Amino acid sequence: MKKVLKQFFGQGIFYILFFGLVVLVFAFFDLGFRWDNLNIDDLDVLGYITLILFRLIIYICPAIIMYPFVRKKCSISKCYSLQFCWYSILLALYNLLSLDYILKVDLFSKLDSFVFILGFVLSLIFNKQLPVETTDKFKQDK
Amino acid sequence: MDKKAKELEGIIRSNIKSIKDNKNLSSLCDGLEELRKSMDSYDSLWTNTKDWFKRLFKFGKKKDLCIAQLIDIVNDFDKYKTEDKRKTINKLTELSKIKDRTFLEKIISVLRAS
Repeated sequence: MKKVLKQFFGQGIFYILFFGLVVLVFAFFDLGFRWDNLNIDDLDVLGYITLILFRLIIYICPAIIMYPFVRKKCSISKCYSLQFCWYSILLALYNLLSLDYILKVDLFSKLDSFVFILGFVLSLIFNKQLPVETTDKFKQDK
Repeated sequence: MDKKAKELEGIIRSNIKSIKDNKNLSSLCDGLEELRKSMDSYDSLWTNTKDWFKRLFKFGKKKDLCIAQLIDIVNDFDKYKTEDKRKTINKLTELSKIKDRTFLEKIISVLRAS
């Protein structure tokens, strides 16, 4: 049990810090302003590419970066499950504290899409049903 | 288009290129001032200027003085009351607000994309 909790919180801290760092870096270069001004009439190509890159980095990369360090104890699908579980916890806290009303912004609005797609892709790769869960409790490997 | 107008276009184009290379911002403002004085005489230049303003939007941070001059130039064209003119002024105004954004606002606009 202790090992499980250690893994859960250890990875969780990494995922939260990684997300925070990525947001800070993109905010430092004021890329959010470029994204707010994206429009079809006069497409800012660099802004568009950085927006795609941002979403790939925050949703796909964290578990991939973590996996080599925990591969003996954790499969890649479990890493993704933990990542999305922690993102859900962060989102729940964000909503509980009503920060969406104060900051007027929704956090992780694309989370469900990525959870579904990654679950689908991973189950295809491993050729078996692998749930990538966001709200279920962390389960031990059998 | 006569010779004078072509010369002005050449000045503006080379100044736009200088802006892209982050050099010689003041000469762009001077060039635009020249353009403004000649604009009423050369109606066809207005169409080209819209493209040049669009190119400016793509560059990074701008000096407030230059943006204020650009807004004055667009505002001076009273006879061109078009949707494009309104959009141009709105975009320039937005661009001038870049410097005033706090770091928290920058973070919020990044979070909006998550």
